[in-house]
Amino acid sequence: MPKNYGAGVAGGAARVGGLRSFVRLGRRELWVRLDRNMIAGARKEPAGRPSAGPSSPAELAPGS
Amino acid sequence: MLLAPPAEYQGLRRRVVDQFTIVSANRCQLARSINWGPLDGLLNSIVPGTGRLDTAGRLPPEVCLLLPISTLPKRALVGFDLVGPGGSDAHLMPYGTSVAIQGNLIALLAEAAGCPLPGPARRVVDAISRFRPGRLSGNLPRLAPRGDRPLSFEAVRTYLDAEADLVVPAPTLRSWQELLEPAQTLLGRALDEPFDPLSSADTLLLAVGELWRDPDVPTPLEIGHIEYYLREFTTWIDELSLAGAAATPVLSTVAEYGRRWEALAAVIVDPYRPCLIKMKEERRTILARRHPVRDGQVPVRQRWLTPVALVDIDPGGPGSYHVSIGTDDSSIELSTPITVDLWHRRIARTYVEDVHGNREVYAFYSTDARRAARARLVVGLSVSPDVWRVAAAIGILMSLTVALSALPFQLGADAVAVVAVPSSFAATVLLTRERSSLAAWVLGPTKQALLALLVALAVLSGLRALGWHTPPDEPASSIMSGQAQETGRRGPG
Repeated sequence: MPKNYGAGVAGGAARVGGLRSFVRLGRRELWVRLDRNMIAGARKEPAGRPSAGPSSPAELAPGS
Repeated sequence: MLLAPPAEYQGLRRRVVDQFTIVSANRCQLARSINWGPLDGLLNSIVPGTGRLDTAGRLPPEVCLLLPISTLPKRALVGFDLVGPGGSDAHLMPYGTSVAIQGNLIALLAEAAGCPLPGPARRVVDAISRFRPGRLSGNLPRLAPRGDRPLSFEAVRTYLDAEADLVVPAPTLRSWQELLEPAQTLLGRALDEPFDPLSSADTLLLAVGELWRDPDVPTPLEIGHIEYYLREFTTWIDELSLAGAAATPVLSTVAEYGRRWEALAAVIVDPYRPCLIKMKEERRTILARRHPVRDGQVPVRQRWLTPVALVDIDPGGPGSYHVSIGTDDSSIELSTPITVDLWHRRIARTYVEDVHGNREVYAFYSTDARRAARARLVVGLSVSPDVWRVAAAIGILMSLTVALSALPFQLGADAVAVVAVPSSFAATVLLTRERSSLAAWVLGPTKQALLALLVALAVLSGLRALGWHTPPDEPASSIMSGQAQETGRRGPG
């Protein structure tokens, strides 16, 4: 846990809406959530950006 | 909520047990077990509120949860192993998950402090969490700064160009640096830890290179967009700084996620029973020849002659904390550790309640929540008496021998041969292999001294053999031949 978290955070009634999305995120998205450089789209050369070079993780591990 | 528990849930993480074993001069194994209490009370307060599941007052017998294991420094995991309750599987969540959860935690903390985290500022907070220092030190090692010196402007620019595919004109990057500097200072002050140039909160420009990796950032990411995110972030930090002490946990947590990350385990647990999660990891042993604590309470002998091992611990958080330190090598003895903060200043109150110490293991136990959240143990290392007595005796003999040979006495070749006898003992000690690289490191200076004395003795013996201060009147006589002559004289009589 963080070094200093003060009084902590509680799940009160005011945050039920926030918790709903949080639980939804926890059920599926947290497992499949990837950075942009880990998905196939990262292999494409974005416009206006130079080549990623050989050290790019997307090129080193295609299909990962 | 388990990462920053409010008062009513602070008893859920009941106990953390850390067992450090210094395996060698380079490796230190950490075995950690975390004891959680029954989580039904917490789940009953969260799950019905989401409206997704009607628990009808009773939770399912097995629930899949993400439980925090430890706040680990950002570096590659070595020898990592994770076991869930009852030996079941525990899955370390992907790094992206930790980034998302850390962002959620900061958003909740900020909301509690009265300064909600706006969406664009959240992108920068996530980028700070997402940055891994290995991207710079592993891919571009020549850019990595030495010691605690800050990263140079050109190094940051080269890094962004090479690793983040972000070509930023120098004036723009300089303006971003000026924009971010006050925020960096505020974050550093809130965390109150030594400056780390490769922490993305201490060098915020490093986080700029992570923005485009965020799935929630539009593509293509233009320079103007980045500046917008940075401005939103600095505005939010400024608002927090006006909130006073209430904002310190938020700032400190943002700064902490620049250098550490939350390891989260997905485990299946029975919500009505306590559970135990075990983790194993290998860390680097930090060794120092001189004692890092410079106050007057450390004896002079210990300060200059006893090498030490530095062990980082994170005893913070609610619940009790147990730690034990030992070595695999029985020829190494440990002295009573000193608890210091990350600046190597002695911590006045350690809140230790129980201690167990012998020459090989030191352990203590604390339940007081006022204990330091991050600390370092300075453990003195020495070799066992049976080893150091022999080494000291041979060292004294060798010193006497070299002194006798170096002084301009007139010694015959036989006398030199007799005087040089301790050299064979010294050579034996030098050729003996230590049980571990840790013992070899501790004995290193002694062995170097013995080697130097041995070489000096060999040179001096050679000089004497060539005639330096050899008695001129008895060049060929020897002890053995002299005894033989005596015996010959006595024999017939």
